[in-house]
Amino acid sequence: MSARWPADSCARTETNDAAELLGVARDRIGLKPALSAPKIEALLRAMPADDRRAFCRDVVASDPETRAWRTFTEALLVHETYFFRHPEQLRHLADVLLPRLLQDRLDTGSREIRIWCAGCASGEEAYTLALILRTAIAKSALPETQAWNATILGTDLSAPMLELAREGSYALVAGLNSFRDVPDFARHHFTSIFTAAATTWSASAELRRWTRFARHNLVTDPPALREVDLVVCRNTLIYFDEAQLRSALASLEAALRPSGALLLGPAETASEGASLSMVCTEQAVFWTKRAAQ
Amino acid sequence: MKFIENLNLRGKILVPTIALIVVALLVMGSLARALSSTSSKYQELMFGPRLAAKVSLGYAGQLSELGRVINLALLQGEGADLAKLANDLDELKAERKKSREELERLLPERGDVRQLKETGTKINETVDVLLVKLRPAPAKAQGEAARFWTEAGRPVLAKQRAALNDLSEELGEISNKATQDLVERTKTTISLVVGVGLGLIVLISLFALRTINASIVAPITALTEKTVRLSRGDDKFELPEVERTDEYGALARALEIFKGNADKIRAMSVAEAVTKEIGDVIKAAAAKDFTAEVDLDDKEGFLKEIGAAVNNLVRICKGSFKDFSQKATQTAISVDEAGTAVGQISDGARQQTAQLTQVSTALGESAKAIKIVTSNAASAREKAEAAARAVEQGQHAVSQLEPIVEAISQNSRKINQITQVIAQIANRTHILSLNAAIEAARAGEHGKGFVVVAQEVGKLAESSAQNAKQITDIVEQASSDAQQGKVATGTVSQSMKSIAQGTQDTTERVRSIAVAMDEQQATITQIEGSVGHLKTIALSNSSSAEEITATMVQLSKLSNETRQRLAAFKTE
Repeated sequence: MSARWPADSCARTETNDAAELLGVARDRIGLKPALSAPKIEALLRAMPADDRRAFCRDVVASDPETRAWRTFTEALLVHETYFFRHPEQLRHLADVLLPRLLQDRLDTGSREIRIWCAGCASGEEAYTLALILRTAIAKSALPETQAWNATILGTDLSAPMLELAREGSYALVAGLNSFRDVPDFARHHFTSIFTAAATTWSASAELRRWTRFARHNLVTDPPALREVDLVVCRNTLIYFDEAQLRSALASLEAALRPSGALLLGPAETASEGASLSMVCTEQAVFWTKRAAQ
Repeated sequence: MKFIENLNLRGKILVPTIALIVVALLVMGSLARALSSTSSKYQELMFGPRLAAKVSLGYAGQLSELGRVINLALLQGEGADLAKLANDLDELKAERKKSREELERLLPERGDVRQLKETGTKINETVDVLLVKLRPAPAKAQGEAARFWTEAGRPVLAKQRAALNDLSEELGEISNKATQDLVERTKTTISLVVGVGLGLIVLISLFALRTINASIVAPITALTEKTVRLSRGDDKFELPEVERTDEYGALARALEIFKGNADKIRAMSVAEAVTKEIGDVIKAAAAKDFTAEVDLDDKEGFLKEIGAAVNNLVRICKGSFKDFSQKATQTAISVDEAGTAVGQISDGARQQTAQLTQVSTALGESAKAIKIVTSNAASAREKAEAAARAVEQGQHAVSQLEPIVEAISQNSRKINQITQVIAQIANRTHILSLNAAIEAARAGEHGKGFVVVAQEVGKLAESSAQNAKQITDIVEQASSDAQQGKVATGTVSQSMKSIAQGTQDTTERVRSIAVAMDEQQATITQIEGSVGHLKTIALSNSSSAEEITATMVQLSKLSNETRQRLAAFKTE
């Protein structure tokens, strides 16, 4: 009997570890268990049995500086992003929504515009927003970009991705690269890539001046920015489980200033309520924060 | 009565009411006038004969007082205060004058009143005479004065007093009679006025009641009855009231319109029921139930059209919702399936990435191994070449070895001879050592050291002999070895020749392996590059597939929600 003890306890420990990590993935990152389960199993399987216990302990501690946490999050997170993703929605943003938000700011006598790009991964979306903002400012009542105090804050959970974002250089690699689906109306931003022989595109100094990147956890941290004019969080909440989705949405909503806009991914939805009202156009669906009563 | 009939309701009530009020006012006015005239007549009476009677009585009183005062003065005789008497008499005179004047004013036309003055003057004169008679010498004059008074004054006074009393009495009677007449007349007047007034009031009240009954109550009763009949849907009655000019005429004309509308009302009540039916269908639709429809068979007109339109709307909604529902279900199923497929692809992509990583690692390992093999092959080639050289040298050495072996063989024989000589020398030395030992023993104490030497020499000889024997053995062995060596050298020489041949082949082969390895390494490096690309692609595919999986899961959730919401609509 005693000879079978270690094998049994080992098996149990492995299941326990997986369940424990699954709980951390849901409670501290927000991920749906169904999506993270196979990844966690693969992660544990690829690990020497002796290291698992220590790894789990480190992950449960949730210290973002530990190697275990980084390994864990990198194994789970999907850093899918590219320039001008979902162009229809961005077109509406560029033509209608952003001009309106800029005019709102001018009407209140302010020249500050804040955009929060939540779940920015390697930063393409933040720079896309910067490009769109630059165009929108040029068409606004105050067309000098220097006159505006613009902030585009990209946040993500992944430290390596934030490093890439801060570098702001994107290579034209094989496969599904950052330039895979740039729409016609935005191709002029990437002339070097599409017409010249360049293999790398780097964000200009102006775009870099506007953009900042910071690590932020949508589930456990308070809003990364306040009084925000536009919150863009696309294809991040699709990974979230119900309860965490709700708290993340509440956090995004809390960041908005009254009449500010929230842009989600095409498959994501926020429920209309006391503070959010849905605007549905042919091109895009977005939510605006109702003005305080 | 036609006049009353044509009045409006207010008129109908006001006319009798006002008539009543007017009559009442007239009656009250007549009564007031009668009472007022009685009152003024009574007042005349009070200030006429009755006052005169009173004044006349007073006048008589004053005369009595005069008589009393004078009588008192006469009785007092000497003690009488003449001044006071004169004074009292003056006062009484003034009072009498006042009374007389009052009587003259009240009863100016009476002769007896006119005579009062005359008599009065006579009384005054008599009194004056009396006073004159009293003044000089009262005691003396007293009797005379008394006599004078009794003769001249007292009868006049009495007569006057009696006349006044009579007057007063007469006047009292007159006034009493007048008062009685007045009361009688007033009574008659009041009875008359009250009788006539009450009669009029009763008449007018009767008239008012009749008017109200005939012109207000009766028509409204009739109209009410007709209205009630109409409300029951019975419009079989005449309405002569429409000719009237009052409110009942208006009411009757309105009722006539209602009567005319009775058909419409019947139609309306039907319409209401139909509308309710249609409303129920709409209500059911609003409550997500599209199974109810309006029954068109018993409907007609625009309500039928509306019913048909509602049915059409409900059918379109039902059809659409059925369609939505079916498509949402299909979408949900498809999305689920696609989600599963994409999930599998995602898993595959992840495995692909993992395996590519392994391949990449393996390739790295291979490259490393090939590098090692290449360098090993190079060193092998060097070693083979060195070996070939060594074999060559060996061959050469072997060929040189043969005469040496021969020489060794010969030398062995010579050494054998030498060792035999050495063995003989050892033998002899042994004998010599024995002898030396014997001689040393003979030499006694002095030979003791020599004995040791002799023993050592003996031992040396012995070992020399053994050595010699060993050398012989060795040399014999060497000789036989050399013999074998000769044979072996031949074999070795032969082998060396074939080794030299083999080494040459090996060197050739190692050289070609090195070349192949170089090529291999180049290929592996190339493959490594390709696998690196593949890894990047697989990684981006994997993340893309995972994102699509998550999106699919999300879409599946959304389409399931849509399906559930649509399922709430009842279409069958």
